Amino acid sequence: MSEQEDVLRGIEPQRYDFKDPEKYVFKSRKGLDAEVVGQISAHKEEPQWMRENRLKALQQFNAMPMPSWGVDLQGLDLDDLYYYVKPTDEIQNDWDEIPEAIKNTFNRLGIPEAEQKFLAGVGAQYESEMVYHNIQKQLENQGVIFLSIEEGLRQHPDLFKQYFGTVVPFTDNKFAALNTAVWSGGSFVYIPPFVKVELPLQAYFRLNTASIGQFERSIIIADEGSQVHYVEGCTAPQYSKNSFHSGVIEIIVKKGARVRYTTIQNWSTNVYNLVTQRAMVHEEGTMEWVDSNLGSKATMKYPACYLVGPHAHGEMLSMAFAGRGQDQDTGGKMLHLAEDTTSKITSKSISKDGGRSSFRGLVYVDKKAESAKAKVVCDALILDGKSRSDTYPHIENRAENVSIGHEASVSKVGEEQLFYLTSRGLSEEEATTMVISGFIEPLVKELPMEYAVEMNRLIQLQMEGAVG
Amino acid sequence: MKQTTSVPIEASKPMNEFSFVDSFVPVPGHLSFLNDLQARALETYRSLPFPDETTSGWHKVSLQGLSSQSYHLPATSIACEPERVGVELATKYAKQMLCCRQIVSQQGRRVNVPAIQGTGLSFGLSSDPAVAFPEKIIQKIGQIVPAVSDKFTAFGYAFASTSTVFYLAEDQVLKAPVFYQEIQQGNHLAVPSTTLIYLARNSSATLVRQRISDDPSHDQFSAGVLEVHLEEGAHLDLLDLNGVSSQSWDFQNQKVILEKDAVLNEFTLLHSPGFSKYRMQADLAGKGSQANITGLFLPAGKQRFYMDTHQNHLGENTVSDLQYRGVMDGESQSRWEGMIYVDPKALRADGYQANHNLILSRSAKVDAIPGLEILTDDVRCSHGVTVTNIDPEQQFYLTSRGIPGKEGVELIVSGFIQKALDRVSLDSLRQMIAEEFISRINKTML
Repeated sequence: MSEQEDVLRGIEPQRYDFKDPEKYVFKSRKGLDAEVVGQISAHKEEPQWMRENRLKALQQFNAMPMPSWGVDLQGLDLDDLYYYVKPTDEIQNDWDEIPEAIKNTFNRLGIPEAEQKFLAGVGAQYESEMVYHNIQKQLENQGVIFLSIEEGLRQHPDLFKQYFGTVVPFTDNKFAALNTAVWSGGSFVYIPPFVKVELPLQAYFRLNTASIGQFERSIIIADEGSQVHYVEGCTAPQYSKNSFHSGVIEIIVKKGARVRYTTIQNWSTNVYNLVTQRAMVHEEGTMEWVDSNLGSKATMKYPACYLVGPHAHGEMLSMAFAGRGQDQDTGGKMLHLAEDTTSKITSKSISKDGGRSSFRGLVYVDKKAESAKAKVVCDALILDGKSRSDTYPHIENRAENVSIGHEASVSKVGEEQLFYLTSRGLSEEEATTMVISGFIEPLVKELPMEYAVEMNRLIQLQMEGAVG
Repeated sequence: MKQTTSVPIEASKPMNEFSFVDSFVPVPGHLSFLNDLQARALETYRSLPFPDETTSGWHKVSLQGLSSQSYHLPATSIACEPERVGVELATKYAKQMLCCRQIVSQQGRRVNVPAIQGTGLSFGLSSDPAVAFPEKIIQKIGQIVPAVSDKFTAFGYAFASTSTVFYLAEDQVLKAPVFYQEIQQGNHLAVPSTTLIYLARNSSATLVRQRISDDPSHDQFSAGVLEVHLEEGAHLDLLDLNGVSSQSWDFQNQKVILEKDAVLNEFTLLHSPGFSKYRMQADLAGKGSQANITGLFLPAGKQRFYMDTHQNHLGENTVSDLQYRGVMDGESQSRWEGMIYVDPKALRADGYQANHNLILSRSAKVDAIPGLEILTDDVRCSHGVTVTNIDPEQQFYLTSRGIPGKEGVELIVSGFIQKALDRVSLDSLRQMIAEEFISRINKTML
């Protein structure tokens, strides 16, 4: 524990709140039309089918209305955004060759430290392109592919085309259509049959230029019997102008495979974060989403598992922290589409300083999903009288032989718990933070150690000055 | 590979308006306030389109199959029945309860009211000059559930021409339960209705309200409003038994306002209509008010039930506890959508909602959508939902004790239903519901 505390002391708050002067090679003009989409495609030297696909998706995006539910998107002006910013020309594999300004950013985020800890691979995304990419030799030898999404398309065009848009088609929702039209950056991961990647693959995403939209697109394919843990951490510098992030993550979990996708979302509190994350889980496969949302102005994110094969299992651990001016509209979806499928959603949310956190979930059990089992547990803490907590779970059942359970509770930090802790010499702030740490513990304990430390520290930062 | 969660709903044709709407002319009653209300409701009704998928609160509700052109309104005439006509239940329970009835047919409305002098109870139709309701009570009609809420609510106010009012004066405690039957008589009858239950300070009553069709094969359309106001310290036990025919379409909108320390115990039984859209809202406005709400719904065959419940905590120290239990069979569809809302002012609110569903058939569809909207911190709110089938282990246990398959299932279902019945506080009423309704439904269901 003392080692962890030392690490904690080393992280100062400013670390997550800084900006670099803008440096980029190409920046598209503001707004979005077929010309901008064409420019993005041309810059990426893409095959014709992708270019056409982008343009079709753009039409779909223009045709679909904005969602009428969820967070308030009034402040989001889709015409006042840069849709593509290319920071440097080349993808880097050697840390020393990375430009100083960008490196500084990552240094403060602690990527080299992660590297030192023998993590499986590091892909860091600075604005819209992967600038740093490294993967341990042994994984490469096993046939594991861990590339930027652009490289994935270039080096493995057939594999890419086989899966792109199959889990999240661009017709799915307005922002999936937008992402398909302007996607840039993200990861392409393929794990060959029966390969188990022991250490987590990691990617950091960062936004720097004000008013750029970041549209990462990731595809993860876990072939039969394979296993992988992918970690995505996001932090963003503070800006006064609203930024927009809208990613699409597609995951294919083949027979007997196991994938865990961990997100720590800490965008600065002016970012709109509208993300579509979905996994197609085949026979006996397991998909686990570990999703924590601390930052952003408004987030709409509901990672989903489509349990399409018998005995497939979906699991979702979700945490949301909504502070001043924040609206965290998060949750998860479990669609049981085959027999003997099982799922579990555990959600923890905290609202403070007038923030609003909402859990929105769906458990759908299809007629075919005989003997499906699903469980949803939502717990919410409200820390003051100005804040708000909402729970909107949907349960739709079409099968006979099922077992579905849902429970939710909303409460404040118990006076008795606070009294006990303060009587042991803790300040009220320390006591509240401790109760919250305990509250989110089921999620934190599933994170890799460095992330668990970072997460606890972020919660502490959020709680500073909370009581007084 | 399935890409979408939405269940396809047949493309619905625009609904035809009821044939009587254009030619309808309200007959002025003796109360100008009610005449105004009716005129406004009629205007609202005519201006609103039929709700569809996109109308708020009507998600997934399809009105397809509602043959609006076939229905006729009852005449506006009102008659009092001189004697108690022996309807089976009313006769059987006449000794234990104050029994009263209203028969709605194409000929008009007939009411039968027992001797209630000296009880502090006023009961009857608002348009009946013989029943002298205090003016401020009559003024409440249309104030609790606004006529503009939706098209079917406006229908009730626009076409009913009269309201059924149940008023209990201050400090009055009714010892015997009131058993009130509303009988819809005749095929293709449209039944608009509005009912007001008003309990003055510290009064207390138990009311059983049963709505039935005269013939189970009759196709009827009913759209009604139930307004309930409980003044400070008032206590109401309300049993709402919906027994209209399986050919019928039923739309009901209910709202209860609870003042300081008022208590509502409500039990709703929904089993017979072919289509039911039921909305229930409890506004816990006064400090320390309390609402215990129980629903039991038993859809089978092709029945479709859509239920919305709202527990609104507006005052301090308010308590609500809702439990909806459903047993679904056949190709039935049911959807329960619940919401607990806690206002920033509602400190120390305690809200609970539970929905338990037992599925007996593989063709039944069930949706459960609980919800919490909490705007303050000093609260305790939670909800729970389960969807299960008959537990094979329970069945095995029963079989091993010599109770074979079908009987075993009956026993498990009875046990499941009993948990809802246990929430009816009065023993005699619990027994009546169990005997008169549940046992019968059980027989037809299994």
